[in-house]
Formats: sequence, structure tokens, C-alpha cells
Amino acid sequence: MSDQKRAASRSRFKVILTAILLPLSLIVATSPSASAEPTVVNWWAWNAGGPPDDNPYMKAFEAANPDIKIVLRNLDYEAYKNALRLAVTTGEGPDVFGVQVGPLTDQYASSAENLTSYMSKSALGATWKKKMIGANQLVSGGKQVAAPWYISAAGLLWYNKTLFDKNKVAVPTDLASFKAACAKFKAVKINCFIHGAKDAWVNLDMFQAISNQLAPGDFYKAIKGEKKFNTPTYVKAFSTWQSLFTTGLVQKGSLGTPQYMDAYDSYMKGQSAMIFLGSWQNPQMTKTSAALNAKTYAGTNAGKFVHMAVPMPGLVANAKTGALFGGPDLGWAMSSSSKNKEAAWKWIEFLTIGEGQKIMGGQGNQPANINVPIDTSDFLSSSQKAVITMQAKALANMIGQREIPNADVQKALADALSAVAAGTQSASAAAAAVQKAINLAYGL
Amino acid sequence: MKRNQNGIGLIFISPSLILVGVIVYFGIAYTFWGSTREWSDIRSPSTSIGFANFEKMAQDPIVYMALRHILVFGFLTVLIQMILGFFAAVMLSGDTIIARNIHKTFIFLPVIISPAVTAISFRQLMSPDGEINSFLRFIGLGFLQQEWLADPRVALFSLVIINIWQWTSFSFILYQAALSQLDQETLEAAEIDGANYRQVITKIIAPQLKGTHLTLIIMGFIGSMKTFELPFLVTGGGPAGSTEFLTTYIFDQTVARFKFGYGSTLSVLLCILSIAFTVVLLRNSRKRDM
Repeated sequence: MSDQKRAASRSRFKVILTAILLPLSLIVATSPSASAEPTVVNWWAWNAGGPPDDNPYMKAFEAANPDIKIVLRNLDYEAYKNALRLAVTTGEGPDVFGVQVGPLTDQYASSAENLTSYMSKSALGATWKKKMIGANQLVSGGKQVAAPWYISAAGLLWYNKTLFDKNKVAVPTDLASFKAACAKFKAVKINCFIHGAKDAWVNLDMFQAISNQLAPGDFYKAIKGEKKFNTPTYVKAFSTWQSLFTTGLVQKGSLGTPQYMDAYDSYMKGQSAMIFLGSWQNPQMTKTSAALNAKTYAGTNAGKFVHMAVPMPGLVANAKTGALFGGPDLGWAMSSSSKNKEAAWKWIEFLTIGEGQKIMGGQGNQPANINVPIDTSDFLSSSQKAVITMQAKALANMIGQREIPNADVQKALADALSAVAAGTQSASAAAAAVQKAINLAYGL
Repeated sequence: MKRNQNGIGLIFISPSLILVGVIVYFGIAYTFWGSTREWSDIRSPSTSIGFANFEKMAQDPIVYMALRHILVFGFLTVLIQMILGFFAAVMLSGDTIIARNIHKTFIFLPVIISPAVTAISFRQLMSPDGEINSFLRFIGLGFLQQEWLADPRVALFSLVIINIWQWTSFSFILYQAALSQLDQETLEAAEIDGANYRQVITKIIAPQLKGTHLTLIIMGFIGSMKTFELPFLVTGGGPAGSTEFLTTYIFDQTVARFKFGYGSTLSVLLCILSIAFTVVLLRNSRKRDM
């Protein structure tokens, strides 16, 4: 190649380079500076209070914090657990993620930031723990793994007030009135009490309710090995549980019916008069939910009846009723590997302490922040306000946490309840089997 | 020259070898390794506990219960599916039945339906006030009504029925294919020699389909060991553990309870049982052939 050609080639290269670099420099010059880009907080949940494109929490937060963008990944619970595990182990996890009380909190404790110091510096101050219901249940190994979002408690019997009024049935308060109500509903061919005993969680809830009627609060010590479980109290609890099935209070085929959605659907459609659930049903009392239910279950009585709750009626003689058990339905944790901890905390603070709690209360759920009340203005009937009043006392003094802390003990009790309901295990054998699991779990 | 050809061959099959090696064998080896760990945390399994998980498994009553269920489920489903599939194939291979293709299509349909759809449908059909009980009442057999999925004495057999409904068509297809390969002259010779229909089926056709029988038995039993969707979606392993399978128990331990170490141990058991079953059956079959 001659010198002339080489020079021409060099000059062509310079022209091309200038042609590329000039527009690029213009783009860089006209685009907003890097610092103006909002900080992205990746938020993973199985219950986010709304879809990603119409989430009231995200909308309110982003309006107040234009420098932070929330990116929500909302999955169903099983998919969520798998996706989160993979994400956390590969270091590609979210900045903020949800945990439930119990095994999930323990499992993700090592991947979560300790929120204690963040909470102390928040608007709630140093005494924040007293102002947040159930915060202790989200502690693992001394670490505050998550901050509670809203509270749910079990131990409530929900009933279709419209159906009760129409058929002149009295709301049950004890076993005798429960049986009388069921007899009346049976006469008009309406299923009385629907229970999805295929799902272990609702059986565990019912057993806790029965145990608390026999010996309030004792269950939570016995299940951790601090007291004996194979005692007459729990044998009685098991036999009471069994009697629900043998006396026909629970519908036939219950052991093959899941609480969600089969049993729940039956109740929501107005086909069953009562169902055992918890305070997480409060939002269903609103007009908004009634309209949504009428749409979801079109052609049925859904959304057309008044949804009410009472404490589970006494199923044993001299029952002590009214106690609720539970805690945070879910809590928000901050990933210890998050690169945007400041923004992530702002988001958690909004959800669990700030404006997010008001949105939560507005939806009819019990906010974790004790200073935020439930908004009853959207309730379908003024009589439903009594449900909130009734719950308020019990929620402030919950008798125990709903989740059984040890997974093996939980399984043993769930299996025993299923076997007793099916009639393949006696009440005393069931109590002995659970005691054995407790002994193994706690090295007794 | 031959060495060269071997080398080229190796290059061609290496992508498959690497894929199988990494995905299958590494996966199995990792599961074996995991089974010797105390691994109940989402992060890396740190502590080696030797064979403690295997000792625990040996004392776990749920494992024995699950194995019993696999055995009952496998025996009934494989046997009934083979009998039904075989007779359907034989009947539809001749000219005696009209609209054979329509029959074949109807028999084949269940196998292409997703287990999730099957599960939801049968949950409704088998509910206490479902269509099966209604039908029994309608034809005057109300005394046969059951809580098909809610009674622990019946639930496993209900799963057997669902599995037979779905998978008989698979036996049918294999038998159909095998029947088309049979030497027609043998069948004609048997007829000329005066063999009746029963004798042709039991003495001529059935023995010649030995390879198909064996394939169906191996695939059926391994399928039973791996059965997951059906119990998981229909009964969830209940009621009272009456439909617990090894797979549902593995899921429960690994996914629901984060016990990856013990879940791996159960998976190792499943792997060993599948391999052992196949090896024993193939060896016995070869011995008989010799």
C-alpha cells in the first residue's frame, strides 16, 4: 500500500469515527443525567395488594417519591418460594421480599437485613415494637427479619347473615345452638357448615380454636414441648374435632375438599351458611368486594348477602370462647445483598409504618401499625362494624401465634387431625403421635 | 482409518454426551451428595452427616406407607391397563367392529389430556355430590356411592381408576403397533388347525407380544414410582396420608419444608428402586429367553 493510499484510508476512518461519535455525544448531552434516573427497587411478593399495573401502594409511593421506581414481581405462593430460593442463592434476588411467620422467616433470615435499627429510627421511635402488632413473630435468631404488613387472626366463624335472617336461624354460640342451626338449614336443603378438611392449615386452625376453648393458651406451650401434649386435654380436643365429622356438622366428603377454593366458593356463592376462617376475610365485607364477588361468581348469590363473623362457638362444655390467634399475615424483608438499601427501606417503611398502612386499613384489613384503624366506611351494612369491634379486643390480646414453629410437629399434628377425622386413628393415639413428634423435634 | 472414524463419531455424539452427562448424571450425583448433608437452609449445604439421613429414612413410617401405596397402585394400574389395552387393540385390529377409527380416537383421547385437567375434572366427578354418585343413584346402585376422594379406605383406588382411565390408551397404542407386526401366516395357520378365538389370543397372540408386555410393565411401574401430578392435584397425599407417594413426600420435604438433605435421600431411594426394578426385570426376561 502506498503512503497516499494509507493517508486516504486513515482519513476515511476518521470521517466514519466522527460520524459515529458525534450523534452519540449529542444523545449523551441531551439525555437526563445518570443521577436523575429513578432508583429501582425490585419487590417480590405473592400478595402485593394489587397487580403490578394497578397497585395502589406502588402508585401512592411513587407519587410521593418520584426518585424511586418499584418493580413488582408477583407470583403465586408455591412459585414464589421456588423463585425466591433460586434468586437468593444466586445473588440475583429482589431488594424487598415477603416472608410468612414460621419456616419462611427462619429460612430467609440469613439473606435478610436486620431491620431493628431501621425501625428504631422510624417515625415509631425506640418503642416501635409496642406499636407494631406481631413484630416479634418475624424475628429469627435475634434478627428482625421483616416488618409486619397486616395482621390476620384465625378463630372466627363467618356466616351468611342474609341466609340466617331469611330462614329465621339463630347465630350459634355453643354446640347445641350450632346443631340446632344446622338442623334448620338441613330442613331447607342448605348446607350448614362447609369445611375444607383436605387443607391441613384450616384443620390446624380449628384444632387450635378447640384447644383454646378447653385450656386457653396451653396449646402454644405444649406444641413446643414446654408442657405435655398427650394429656386428657388434647385427647378431648381430638375427640371434639372428630365429633364434628361423626355428628354431621361438617359436610360429607370434607376430607376431599380444599378450603380454597372449593369450600370457600360454596360459601361465597351462598350455597353454605357458615365457614371457619379468620380476620383476613374482613375486606369481603366491603361494597367493593361485594361488587367484585358478584362479578366473579355471576349467576349466584355472591355479593348479595351480608358477610358477618362471630367467635367460634363453644364446642365443648364450659368452653372459653372469643380468643383469636395469629399475627402478621406477611412481613416485608430487605435483602442483605440489596444495592439500594436506602430506597428499599423507604419502601418498607411506607408499607409497614407510613401511608401504606392507611391504604391497608382502607381495604378492610387490620394494619400492623396500631395507630392506623380499619376504615369501615365502605362496609355493605352498618351491622358489620360490630365484627371489627369484636375483633379489636381479641387482636390486641391474641392468645398465640397461628403458625406452629416446628415443621415436623406441624406435619405430625396435621396428619393426626386428618387420620382422626377419617376415623383411622383414635384421639389418644393421635395425641401420643404428636407428643412423639414434639419429643423428636425438641430432643425431649 | 478405524481410529479416525471413531474420533469423528465421538465428535458427533459429544454434544449429546455432554448434555446427558451434565444434566442427568451430574444431577444424580449432586442428589447423592446432597443426601449426605444436613441441608435445611436455602444456602449451601455445609455439614456432612454421613448416612444419618438414610438411617432416618429407614425409620420413617411415611416412607414405608408410600412404598406400599406405590406397590398397590403400580400392580393394579399396570395389570388392568394392560388387560384393557390388549383386548381393545385385539378387538379393533379385526374387521368385526364398525367405525374402528372413531373408537381408536376415543380410546386415545385421554392420554393427550393434561393431568391437571384430568385432576380437576375427576375431583368434581368424584365429589360426594358429584356425577359418579349421581349416576350410581340413577341406575339404582346408590348403595355403591362412596366418598371417593375423602375416604382413606377408598382414595387410593380412586386414583387407580383415574390413572386407568387416562393411561389405558397408552397400552392400547403399543399393543396396536405390536399387533400390526405379527406374522399373519401364523394366525391363519392356527385358524386352519382349528384353534378357537380364545386359543388364538392366549396361545398365539399374547406370547408373541412378550416384548410389549415387558415394556408396559417396566414403564408402568417406573411411572407409578414417579407418579406425582395425580395424587398431588387430586388428593394432596391425603386423606390421612392414604395417597402419599414417594414423590409427594419428596415435594413436601424439599419444597414445602426446605429439607433438601432429607428430600435428596428420598430421591436417591426412588432412583435406586427404579434402576433395581428395571435391571431385575430385564435380567429375568433375558434368562427366560435363553
